[in-house]
Amino acid sequence: MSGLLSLRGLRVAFAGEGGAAMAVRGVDLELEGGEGLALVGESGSGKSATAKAILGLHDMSSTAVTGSVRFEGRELLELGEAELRSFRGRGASMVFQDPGTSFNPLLRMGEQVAEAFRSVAGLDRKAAREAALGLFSRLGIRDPVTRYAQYPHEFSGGMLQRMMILLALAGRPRLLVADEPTTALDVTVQAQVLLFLEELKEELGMAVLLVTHDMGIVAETSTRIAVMYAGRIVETGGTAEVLGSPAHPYTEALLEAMPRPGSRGTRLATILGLPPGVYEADSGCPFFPRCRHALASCMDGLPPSVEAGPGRKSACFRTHSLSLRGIA
Amino acid sequence: MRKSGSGRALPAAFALACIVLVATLSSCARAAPGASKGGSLSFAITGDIVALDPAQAYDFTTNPVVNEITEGLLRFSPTGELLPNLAEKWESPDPKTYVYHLRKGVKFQDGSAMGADDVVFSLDRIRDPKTASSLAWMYGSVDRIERTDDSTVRISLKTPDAMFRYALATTAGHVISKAYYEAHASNFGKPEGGLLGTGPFKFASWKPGSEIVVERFDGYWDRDKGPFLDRVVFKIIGEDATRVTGLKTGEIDATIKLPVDLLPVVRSIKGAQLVGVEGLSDDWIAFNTRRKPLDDPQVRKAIITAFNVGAVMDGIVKEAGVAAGNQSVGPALWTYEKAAWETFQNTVEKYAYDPARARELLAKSRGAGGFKAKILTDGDAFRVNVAQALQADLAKLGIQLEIEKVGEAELTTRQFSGKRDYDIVMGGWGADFPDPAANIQPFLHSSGMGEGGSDFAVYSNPKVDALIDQQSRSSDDKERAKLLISALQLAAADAPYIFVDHPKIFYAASEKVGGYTMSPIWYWDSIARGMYLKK
Amino acid sequence: MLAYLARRLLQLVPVLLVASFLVFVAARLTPQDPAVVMAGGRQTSTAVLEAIRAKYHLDESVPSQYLRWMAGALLGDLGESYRLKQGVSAMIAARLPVSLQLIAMSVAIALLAAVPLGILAALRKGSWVDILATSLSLAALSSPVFLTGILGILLFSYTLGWLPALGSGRNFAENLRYLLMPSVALALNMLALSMRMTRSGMIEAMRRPYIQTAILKGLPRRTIVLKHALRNALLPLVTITGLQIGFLLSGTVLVEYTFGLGGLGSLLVNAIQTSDYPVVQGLTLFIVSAFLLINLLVDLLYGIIDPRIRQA
Repeated sequence: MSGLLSLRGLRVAFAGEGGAAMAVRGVDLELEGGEGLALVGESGSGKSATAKAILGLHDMSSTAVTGSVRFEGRELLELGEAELRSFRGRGASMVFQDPGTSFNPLLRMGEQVAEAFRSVAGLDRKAAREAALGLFSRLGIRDPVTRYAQYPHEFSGGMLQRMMILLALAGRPRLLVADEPTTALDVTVQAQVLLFLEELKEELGMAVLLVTHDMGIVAETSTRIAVMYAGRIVETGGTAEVLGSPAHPYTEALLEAMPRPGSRGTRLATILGLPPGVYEADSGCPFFPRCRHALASCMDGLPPSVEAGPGRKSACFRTHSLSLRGIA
Repeated sequence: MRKSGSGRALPAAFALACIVLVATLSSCARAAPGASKGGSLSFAITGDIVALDPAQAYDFTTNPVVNEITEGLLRFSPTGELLPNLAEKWESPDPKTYVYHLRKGVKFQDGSAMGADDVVFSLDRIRDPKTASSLAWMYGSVDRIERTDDSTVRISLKTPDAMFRYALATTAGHVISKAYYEAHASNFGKPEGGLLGTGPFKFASWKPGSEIVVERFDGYWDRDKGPFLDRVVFKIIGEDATRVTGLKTGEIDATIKLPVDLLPVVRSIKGAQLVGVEGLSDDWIAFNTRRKPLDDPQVRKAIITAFNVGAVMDGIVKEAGVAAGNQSVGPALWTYEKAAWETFQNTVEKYAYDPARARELLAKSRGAGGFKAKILTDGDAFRVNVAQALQADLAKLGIQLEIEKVGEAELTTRQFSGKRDYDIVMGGWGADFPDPAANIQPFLHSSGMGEGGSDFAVYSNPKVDALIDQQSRSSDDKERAKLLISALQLAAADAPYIFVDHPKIFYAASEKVGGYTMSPIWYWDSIARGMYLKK
Repeated sequence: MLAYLARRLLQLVPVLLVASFLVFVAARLTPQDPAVVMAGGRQTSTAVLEAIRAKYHLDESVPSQYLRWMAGALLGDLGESYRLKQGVSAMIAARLPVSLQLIAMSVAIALLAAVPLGILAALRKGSWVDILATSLSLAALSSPVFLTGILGILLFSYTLGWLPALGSGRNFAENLRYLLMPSVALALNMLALSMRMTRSGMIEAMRRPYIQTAILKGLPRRTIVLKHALRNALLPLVTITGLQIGFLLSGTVLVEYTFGLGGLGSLLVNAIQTSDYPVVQGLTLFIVSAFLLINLLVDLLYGIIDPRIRQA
């Protein structure tokens, strides 16, 4: 495998009141170096849990992570605490949804940035401060020295998110996992941040795993897309192809539900029903109750992931017999 | 003992005289063999002192401290006789005149000489209302205090007063330096101003709430009796148990007035000395003789007869006091005419414990059939126990006694309030002077019925008043004893009080403290003067 | 900032006025008669008692007495004690060093023990360490000061002879030995609350997203706990500690009695028991002022720790 990241049969189960909550029920995923992959799904589909599992961020005392997560050939799930610590920030890094809460409100911004440089880039205090100031300048912050001493609440959301991204890249990781990086931002700012992300991806030649529920942003940033439903990957493929002609009924439904220009005034399409709960055991195709193309035979066991075209996979019994509508 | 200068330069005769003098003095009363001169002694007192001022020294915490620094014209012996002190002799040419001849060569602790001016100033100061001294009453019958020459002071009274002679042995008779007072008028007696006297120790420091330190005065006039210690530290410790702990750990060397329940603890300390003496005080119970049915003497006699004082002595008082035989004047107060007092005590009607007789008495009184009454006391464990004993005894008589417990300050207030709003009240009383009259007049003279008075029983008997007044004008102790005894006989027939016991006062010290003998009149005298530390 | 301070200080005034008036009136409602108590249980005459009452203006109406006292207090003169011939201000000043040092040492010891325990309990939440820490601090809370004090004296003074059983020293340095046991006795009581505050604060803080960020930066655990989480956990602890200090201003009385210390607590209790109005009033005014100032300091401290509050 020349792949950068390879997930095989990844399962994440949380200890809960109703027993074990299966958030991720066997995920297979491949990511090449320098590639942009979008992991798309509704809330509760398990995409964030998948992302966190890669960085080893789950609380091991209450979570069971099984399967295989290989990064550059190394099995991450076998790493000890110290090894994980040196992996984070250098091998792979992560950015979260709400930049406002991602920073410590009581510490000065400059220090929080410099801290990253000291830790992952191994710089000394003086060099780290220089690097941090440089980061401020790069973001177009006027008077970086004054702003260095300011606190997170004195910066705008968009600025914070961009800072967060740069900070995550302080150790020049080969992979950046972005979990809903723009969801908490204004629409106008969203575009800025995405562009910023794209620039950096090019500049550093790193892979970006973009986790989102927003189909609208995947086109600009990711060349490939993986759709997740109820803890499983239901479709993977090139972004353009999947969006143009989805292979899985769930993908089709998702695309239909997207608000489009010109759709003003018409009712938004919804997917009726709810996804299966995390405590429910597997029995048949998980999308069965909500699928407009479902047949009785769809309930016979889990649909396997089959080839739906070159570089395309879909986990649907009826993959080859369906022709689904996408967006142009 | 510092040798006097006997250098070669002196004439031989003088040198010989000095050697003889030193030898004589050395063989006089001085520190016992094995004693070491010097050292610091910690003495525990139970509260902060009121002020460093004899005019304000009238309680058991201020007196021990002030008594080391200033002293009076006279002193009490342990048996209550008046001894010369700063006055080396005195006389009373007539009942209204007292003349004191001052000792020469006495110095204040700053080296200045003490003279008649200082004495007149000190005593007049106590009388001055502006000083607000609660000792002023001791000079109540004084007309004039004047110096007749450098070392003589004459005091003239308005009327004869048998008790006046004692005043000069109390803190009311202490001499302070007039010059020092005038130089420190704004803060005299306070921590910054201090106190200057002629006593064995001089004032060093006072940390309010914490401790007072006094240091040896090497120029003390009565050097063969002491002082020997370098320093005495009076530590202020409010809690009795903590004082005893201090004795255990050695942080306290001596203390006075311990409650009876802690005595076993003191005894368990290795080598600790514990001495108890019968004090000049009474634990008393007073009937409000104006309230029905207690206004009937038969009722009062019935109650006294029903009260098992013996059981109280055995079970509650134990070693903390001496049986009083229902009289306020105990053996410690028989300072003159001892035989007469002894006879009186043996023969007076005591209404001894006799439940059957008690019932008889009650049946023939205005309290027949029983009644309800309240006894007022504070939370002091001893008093509560005694009240409960009385309650139990009276219940057998059909008298329901309710115990009303209030705070210490409230008890004091109501004891001395003119309202006399109680049926029966309990308290303690200590004599100011070693004279029987000191425990008779306050209880029985009708002038004490009103506000501020100590006639707690609201007792008024003109014959008793007359006898008390007569003895106070007399200067013949034999005559006075007769008059006082007659008064007590009359009062005993009326039975306005129950005197439970004469409390003992306990002095405790560690094994290394020597040179102090406890006496009933300890609060008018220096404690540390003769003290030394054994090795 | 200055305007804020000025405003807060001004707010103290009405509170002090009300508090002082309430204490003034309450003191005079007790059944004791200060004139009689001053006369000390000895026989006096009405004339003498009247003289005492006149001297201390006890014969005037309560509002009139209050105004008279207030006028003096504003000029810094809290009057003179009825019982002891000392100025109230001087009495407070003499006892203040011991009380202050006792409070400072107690709080320091309590925090030194509570904060690490709280952090440990939070990080090992639910484990035996957590349960043990919680149980120990609850046991400490339930032990009355005079009990722990006496046990301490028995062990350290009497048996081992390491520490003095009573009294206070002459200066700050000496007092470190004298006040050690009393401070520990007091600290034990404060420990539980401070520990639980730290623990819950830490649990809260560790759950926050910025901790994830810190983890992603590859920071060592110690840095994450101490530099990032602890700072955020401190805010409720600061408030609680301020309240505890305020309580200790006079709450040290039991310890003072047990160890024979001359502090403000026993001064207040003695004064109340003996109807020493000037001391009660003056000391209460002092304690209320101190309490309000402490709260002000706590608020300021909040602003220092949390920049968001500073700018509000």
